[in-house]
Amino acid sequence: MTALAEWPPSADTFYLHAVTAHRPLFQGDVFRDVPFTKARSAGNPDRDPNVVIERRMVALLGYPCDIYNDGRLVKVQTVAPVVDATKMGIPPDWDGAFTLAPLPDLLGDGNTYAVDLRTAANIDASYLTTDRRVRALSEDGWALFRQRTILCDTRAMIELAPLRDFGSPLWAEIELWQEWNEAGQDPAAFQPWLDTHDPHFGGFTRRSALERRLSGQVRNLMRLAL
Amino acid sequence: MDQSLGFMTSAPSVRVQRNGNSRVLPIPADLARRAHADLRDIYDVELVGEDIIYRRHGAHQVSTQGTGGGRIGMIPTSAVTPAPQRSSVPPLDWDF
Repeated sequence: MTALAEWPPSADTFYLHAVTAHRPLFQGDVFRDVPFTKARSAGNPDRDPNVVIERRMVALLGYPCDIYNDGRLVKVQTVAPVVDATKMGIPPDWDGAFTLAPLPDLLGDGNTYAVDLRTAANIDASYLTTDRRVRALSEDGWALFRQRTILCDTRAMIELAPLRDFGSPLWAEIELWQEWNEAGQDPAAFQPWLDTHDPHFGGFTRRSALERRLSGQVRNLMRLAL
Repeated sequence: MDQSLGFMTSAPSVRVQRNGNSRVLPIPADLARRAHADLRDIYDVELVGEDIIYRRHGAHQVSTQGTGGGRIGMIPTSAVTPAPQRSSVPPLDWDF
């Protein structure tokens, strides 16, 4: 996928169709009712700011390798607020809206929302529960989301093909992890399993095989282990 | 073990070229169809263990370094273009 016939893309392109609690949290996941903290000036640089906490929809910003440590959620996560795109003055073709990542039909009501990538806050991971997850991105949606975050930070537009190509092993990993969870396995045991050296891959780790695009073979091995 | 080769598809066969020599190898038609392989498409072929990995040859291949959390990709400059114009989004204020 190197070009899109429409922009912003449709919800069918952007999101996974069905997301269960077995799906590990992932970059771009949208959550509702999460405390977002603002620290506004109290009018004097020598005084501490007035802290405002708002419950709102947010998107998880961290790269998956930073969201987890040894298969467990890192306690401190970074999120950005989700805003109503219709109130942002965005042109129909989104030209110049570098700092926003679209969330088409986020709530199923036809309205487009957006992640405001200029603002971020740290929250405790305990607020990011699967029952508060509104949406999870598809593989194409994840590539698009990363394209927007890079665009926001660098003003450079990277084509989707290399982003998707580079991300495909990680996408395969998260799919395997979900399948592992669906089989009733301990979620925290998946990463150690993936980091195990395996004679089927010449003594390299299963993760290394995954990164060499051998996801089918790794999946077959995992199913035998489940 | 890695060997870079180039080949052109003419499903259900492929012509493999290496060091100026070429030969035709069979490839399952179903595999070619599922990969959307068309006549004269060019792929890179890599041997990984006992597996042969075919990757569509293109200008936007990403080279990688490291593994796991240390894995990074090197995006080719041909896949990067500057943003076309100034931002159309209002400046940020505390009412966001």
